[in-house]
Amino acid sequence: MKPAGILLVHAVQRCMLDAFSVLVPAPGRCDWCAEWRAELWQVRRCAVGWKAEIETVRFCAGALPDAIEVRRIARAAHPGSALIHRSAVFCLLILALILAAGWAIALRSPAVIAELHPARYTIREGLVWISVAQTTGNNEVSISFEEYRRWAGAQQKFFNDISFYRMERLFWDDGRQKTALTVGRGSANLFTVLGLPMEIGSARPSADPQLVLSDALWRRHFAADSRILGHKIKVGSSLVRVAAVLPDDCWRLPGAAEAWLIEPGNRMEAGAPGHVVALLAPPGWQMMGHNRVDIPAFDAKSNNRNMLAVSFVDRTIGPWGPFCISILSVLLILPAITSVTRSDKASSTVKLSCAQLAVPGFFFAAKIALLLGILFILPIDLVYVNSQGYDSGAPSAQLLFTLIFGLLGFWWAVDDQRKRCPVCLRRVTHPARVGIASRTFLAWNGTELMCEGGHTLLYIPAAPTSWFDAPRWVYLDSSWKFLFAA
Amino acid sequence: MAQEPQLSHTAAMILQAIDAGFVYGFSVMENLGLPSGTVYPAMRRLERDALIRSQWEKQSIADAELRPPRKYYRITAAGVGALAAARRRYPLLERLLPAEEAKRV
Repeated sequence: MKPAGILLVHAVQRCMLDAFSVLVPAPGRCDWCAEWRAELWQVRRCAVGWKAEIETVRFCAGALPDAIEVRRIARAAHPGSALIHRSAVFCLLILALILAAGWAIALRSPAVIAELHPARYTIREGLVWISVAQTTGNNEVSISFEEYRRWAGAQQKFFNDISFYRMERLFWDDGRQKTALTVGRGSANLFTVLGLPMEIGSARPSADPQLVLSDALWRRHFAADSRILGHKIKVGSSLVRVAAVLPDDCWRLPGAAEAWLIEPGNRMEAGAPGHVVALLAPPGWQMMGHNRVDIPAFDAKSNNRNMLAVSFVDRTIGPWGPFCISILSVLLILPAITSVTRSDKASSTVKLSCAQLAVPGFFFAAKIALLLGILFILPIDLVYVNSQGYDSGAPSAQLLFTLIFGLLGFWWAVDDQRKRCPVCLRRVTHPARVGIASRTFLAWNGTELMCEGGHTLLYIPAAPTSWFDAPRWVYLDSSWKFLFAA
Repeated sequence: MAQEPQLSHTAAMILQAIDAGFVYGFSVMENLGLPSGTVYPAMRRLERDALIRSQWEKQSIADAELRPPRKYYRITAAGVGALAAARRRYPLLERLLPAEEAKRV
């Protein structure tokens, strides 16, 4: 039996080959994989010990240049497809496809849809989430039910109303089978404090336990039948009355519940700690700064407890705030990572019409528009697609992803534009090194690229000089045409 | 008369190795001491230029030897001509891997 480390290295080797095979055009991929696997088998047979295993990994790394070569040969064999790949339409098509895929993922995820419609989530003025000061920011539960009950019973200076909930796993018994549900178990005034709009029904304080269904649960288990309202069902150990249905994107408090069990305060069992939400009174409002306020509190033994009340205002910002900040940052950073100056045009007898001169600008604008769409939706997909309820770290993650993707995307967009023929918008190709580095200041030294349509040559200096600092386009007149005949 | 392709020294070595009887990638690598990232891409180019051709080994042979089937490379008539030209260009090439030494497969 081989040691686990060796098996892991073998898995890495296989993964390398599989990953590199993506570069190989589909018709020859199976053949390519089979050949490399057969060769790998041969190499492994001769490999004994760790040093040999590392050599085998190096052997697998050689599959990358091979895959690139196979791809290059396949493309050269079909010059038509290479022309398509380099065309402006293909570039826009790929961007549009990525954008469409991003939206398709977004529309399949309720969490992403909720994030895209923050205006549908309205919060009551003065609504705050209370936690022990050290735990704020990560949605941790920090307050016991006993502590909440003591506060709720005492005369409040800072709050008009205060409510409690905690997440529990309870079974719903429909007589035939038991279904596990994530239930938010809250005090009777929970929805009164939150002031959330119900899709149907209402969740007013009542002497009986009430169940508020999430829209998803209502549709999944009750086929969106409004007649379920008023019926009693067994959840956990008690019979509860279905009181209302809450729209999916309304709940932005910590914890993702499928239903909420609203119990009168005196019937709610003490137990696991939970979350406390409250409505600030005018004295609390006055102390509020940066959407948070320190609340002096005391525990049962009259010890001082530092509590923090955080406003829910930042939960209704939506995705636009982080997106705009990131894009602004990208635009500020971009000149530091790539040249954003326009390429020069060498003097030429070729005259372009106004429409021809405007086409690269339109193409760049279309590319940037699609890129912005991608930069908006892709980070949201990544951050929210698997999120369980609101996460206070999500806007920061969205900001970071947008910033990283934005830098890469804008860098690519500028670089791509610089290497596209201004006449036909195809990417220039066939790079050729011209000159030698030691003669940079005496003669031309750099890279020359060519438009396959025979419209232009692009000169990129190896090192900017006072007489040649930006890439320069040379427009080819009709005397060059014979070189580019099909 | 068609112009013979100008082979690089590495490509000529690989062609010589195949002619010498090292007919699959790893055996070429092992005998020339070249890395996989050089040998396999060079073999693709040789095959593209029709100087060598590849053929999968029969499954029954591989099964009998309890290993996956190999892809074997053989030199073509055009390859023989190109190799002869390369030998004139690189006289030490033949000494590197004498063709009669390893006609194994």
